[in-house]
Amino acid sequence: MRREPADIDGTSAPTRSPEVLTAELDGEAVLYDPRTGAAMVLNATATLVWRSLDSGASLESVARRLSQRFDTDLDQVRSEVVEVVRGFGRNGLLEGAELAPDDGGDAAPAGDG
Amino acid sequence: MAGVRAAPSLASLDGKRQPWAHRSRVFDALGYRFRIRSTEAGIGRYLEQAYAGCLAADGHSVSERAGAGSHGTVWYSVVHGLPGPRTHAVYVDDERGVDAHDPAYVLSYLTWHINQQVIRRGSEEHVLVHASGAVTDGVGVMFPAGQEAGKTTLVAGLVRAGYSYLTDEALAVDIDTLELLPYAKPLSIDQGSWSVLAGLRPDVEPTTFAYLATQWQVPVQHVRPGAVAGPTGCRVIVFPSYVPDAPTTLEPIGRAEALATLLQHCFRFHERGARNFEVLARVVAQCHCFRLTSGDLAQACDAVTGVVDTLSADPAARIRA
Repeated sequence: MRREPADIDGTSAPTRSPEVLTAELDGEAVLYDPRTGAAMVLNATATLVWRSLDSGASLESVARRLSQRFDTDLDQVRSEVVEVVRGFGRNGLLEGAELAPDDGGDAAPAGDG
Repeated sequence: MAGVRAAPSLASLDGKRQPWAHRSRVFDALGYRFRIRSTEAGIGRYLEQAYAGCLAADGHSVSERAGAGSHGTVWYSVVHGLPGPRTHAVYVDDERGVDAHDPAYVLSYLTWHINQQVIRRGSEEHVLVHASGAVTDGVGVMFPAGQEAGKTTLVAGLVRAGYSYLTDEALAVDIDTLELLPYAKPLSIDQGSWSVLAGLRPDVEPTTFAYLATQWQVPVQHVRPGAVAGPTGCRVIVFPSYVPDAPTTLEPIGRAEALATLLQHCFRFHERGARNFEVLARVVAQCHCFRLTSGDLAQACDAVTGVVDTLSADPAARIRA
């Protein structure tokens, strides 16, 4: 079922769009979407979240793992994970998600020289 | 005047009937094969030198004329002495590409057209980056940047200092070996860099210099003989930015940021987006990446050399990269 990025919460289990290409360099991911020509860089935390989205796990479960790994407050981690994944959705990076017509997302276009 | 012949007709260019004063050998730049002929011997000889780094290995033409979609050899014809106000022209095969009173204008069209075709043809088999490139001690260095960032000036300074030359405009990456491939076009030096590279002013007679009056097209062998590099692995990526009077800074940047920036400098990226992304990611993974800001050529060259020397002296640094 298609969901709006704003509807994503801890119970959601979104998955990465198979169209989006990922290159991970020193723990930071660069995503490239050939459909839109957009590229974006994820910081280390967002890269961990992005990586976790191919397991079918809920964001609650992702947040728990990260909270334990970094020994940080679960509520704060959950909030950040949900916000990061909503950002993926706004940029059309999730399966079944589409870039909102009035939302250019955060990604920069890859160039032509 | 020596080398000047009667002008051909503009209406129809029949190459076999024209009094060409100079006909070049065949050039092959990243698979784009071309020859240049001229009704003035001076500019003809000069252009042969200018593109000498691109001479085809086999030295002869596969086809004297390119058909649509073929990869035959294209003739560029530089013509002077035309009747009327537009006395100079460049033809691409039999088609008139441009005509103008100013010979510098038609030469800029010629070099632009060759570049565009090299990029078009080269992008089929390679990943092409808007970058200059140089090599020293087996270390390939890529300088990706847009216009006016100082790509050509920086690479000219480095070649003068002993580096080998890959290109000043379109750097090709072999998609299998990831090696940087030479496109040894003449260095196109804009007026803003003439004072700092004054020694590279073309030493030619006035009629030939008129073609170079707005942009010097400098054969790389005039910078340093034997300076054309062979295919070389890329180990360093430097994003240069020329800022007048700015202090010279060379700051390391993360590879992810470097890749995202590099994508923006890839020619015809979207035509083969997935291939280009994957190849450039592999290139960046094996490189040290920096952002260079400078207003001084000597300092910029020193900064780049300092990084490369460190890598050359410590091979393990390449592994850790």
